Amino acid sequence: MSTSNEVLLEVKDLKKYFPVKKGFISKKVNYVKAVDGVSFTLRKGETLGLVGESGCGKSTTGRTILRLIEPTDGIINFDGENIVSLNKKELRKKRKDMQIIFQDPYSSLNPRLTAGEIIGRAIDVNNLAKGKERERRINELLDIVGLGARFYNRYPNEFSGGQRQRIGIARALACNPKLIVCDEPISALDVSIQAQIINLLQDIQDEFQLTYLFIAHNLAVVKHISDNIAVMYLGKIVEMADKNELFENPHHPYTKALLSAILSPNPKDKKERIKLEGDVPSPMNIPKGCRFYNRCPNKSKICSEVEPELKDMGGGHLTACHNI
Amino acid sequence: MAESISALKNGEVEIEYKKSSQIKEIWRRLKRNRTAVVGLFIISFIAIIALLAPVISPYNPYEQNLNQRLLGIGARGHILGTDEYGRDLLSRLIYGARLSLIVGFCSVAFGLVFGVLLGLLSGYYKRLDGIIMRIIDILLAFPGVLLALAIVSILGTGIVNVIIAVGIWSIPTIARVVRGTVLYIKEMDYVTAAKALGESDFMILFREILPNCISSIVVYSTMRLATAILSAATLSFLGLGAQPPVAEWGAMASTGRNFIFQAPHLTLLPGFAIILIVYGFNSLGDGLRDALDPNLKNV
Repeated sequence: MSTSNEVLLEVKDLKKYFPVKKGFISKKVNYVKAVDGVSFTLRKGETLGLVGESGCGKSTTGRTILRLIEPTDGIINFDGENIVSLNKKELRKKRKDMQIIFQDPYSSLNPRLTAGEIIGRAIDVNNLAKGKERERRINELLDIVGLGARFYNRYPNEFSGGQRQRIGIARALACNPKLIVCDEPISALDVSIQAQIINLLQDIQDEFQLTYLFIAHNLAVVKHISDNIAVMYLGKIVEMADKNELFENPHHPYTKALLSAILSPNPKDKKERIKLEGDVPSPMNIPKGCRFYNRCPNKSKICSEVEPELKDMGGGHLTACHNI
Repeated sequence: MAESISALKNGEVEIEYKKSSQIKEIWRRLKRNRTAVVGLFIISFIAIIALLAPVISPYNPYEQNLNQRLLGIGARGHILGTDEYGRDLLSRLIYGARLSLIVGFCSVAFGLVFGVLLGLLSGYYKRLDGIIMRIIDILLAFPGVLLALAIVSILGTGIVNVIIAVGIWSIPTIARVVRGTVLYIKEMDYVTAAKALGESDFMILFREILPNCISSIVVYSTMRLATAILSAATLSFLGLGAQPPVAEWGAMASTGRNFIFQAPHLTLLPGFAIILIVYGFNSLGDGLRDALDPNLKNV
């Protein structure tokens, strides 16, 4: 993949706290710290894989970057502009540059519109084309995602999950975005379809110089599609590195545990399986010190006292752990 | 459409999928539902009668003939008999269908205009939700027809005021139904996608969310029509709606009550007409609920 050095997206200390309200007057009693200080940069044409277990804040991170969820705090520099400081009108103009592909192909398409109308709406909202040009563009997009113009007049319920996902991709492509947040785009699909969608995503990335933030929990898929991988745990990035570096030389005990859980196609391959004890702490009540402390196999005294910072361990390999 | 396909495919033969109209699909599913068909048949029957009232009614419904008072069913010249002033009951029933349908449709339309708007706003904007829903709670706290009764007492009797009263009474429940649907729909990914594409709140509300609420609105208003007709008849029965000599089923049942021993059909037949129309709208609404779900195909 062609990766230039130009930074497209820079996220600094992004936070999203959801208030927990209780009682008659909706008093805020607590906060769910879904995203708690996430920072990373994405260069043009690059793919960053964001992995982590359910509820660690991956999707919230992705949606907060697009301001589909309003961030609590932090800076999102996209294409030289701080997205967080834009007002509603400016933001709406900027929206076409950053799109999203969803996990659930069944709820991501309006059941009352045909495939052509869904894509057409994306074109209309941003005034990208009119009349014949608009029709041509819709058919072209249907072709790009491998459906063909004959599907123009069909409703979502006449499509399979994989085909629906293709329409979702065509819709995201319709306004020529620079960044696409892929929010677990393949988790809801059959394995055979997953490969097709991944290939499609890679093809259009090459063709249109797209930058991806690829959210997933399947490590093998993430390794296949990403340039860099960030591992999230309880609202924070605990390790981030080039994909090969991360797979061959993981630093953080959580990353090691995740990697050890990947199944090998070779049954004789006897890998050491790291089993984590305990549960993830509640994001409403994050413990002092390292977030991973209660489950960590090689913790030391400092871990329960001081929260480790994300530090460069050499060659751009960032890790947040005291014991490296 | 056909041109662009052939142009794109360079003459390659492609199966062309026509935009299968969703209405056609709904009609196909509705036809298979026996109760719905019966309901639809009853409603169309009454609607046709109401429409053709001046043509098909044998007598003028207001023409009195004191020589032929309180005739029973099957009397010569008056198939369904006559009332206490000798007016032909069949003609009065036919004209009453007009009034019932008008009152039903107008009051539900009145309720829909405000109910849908309030429901959309309170479902979509969290800030407005608290205020709107509390007002609706207050309206809902009045038991049944009592609210309509109170409104009519304030506005005065008469058919227009009944329409307004029944319409106001319909607002809270319609708003509730719409709000519930909006709360569900706005969490759908396609609404998020619309937001990500840069659609404004107005566009999202009226182009993404409202079309997907239509089915629950249609189903609910069909059922609500039955309630509206029934409560309008109730108000007339209580003497607050249509005033004599207007031919209205509720009012006819009410005046007929005085002669219930000599001529029970004066009360029973208008009552039966009310039952018929209410049953028709209810079963049609039931069938529509099944037919309007776009995710249930070939069921």
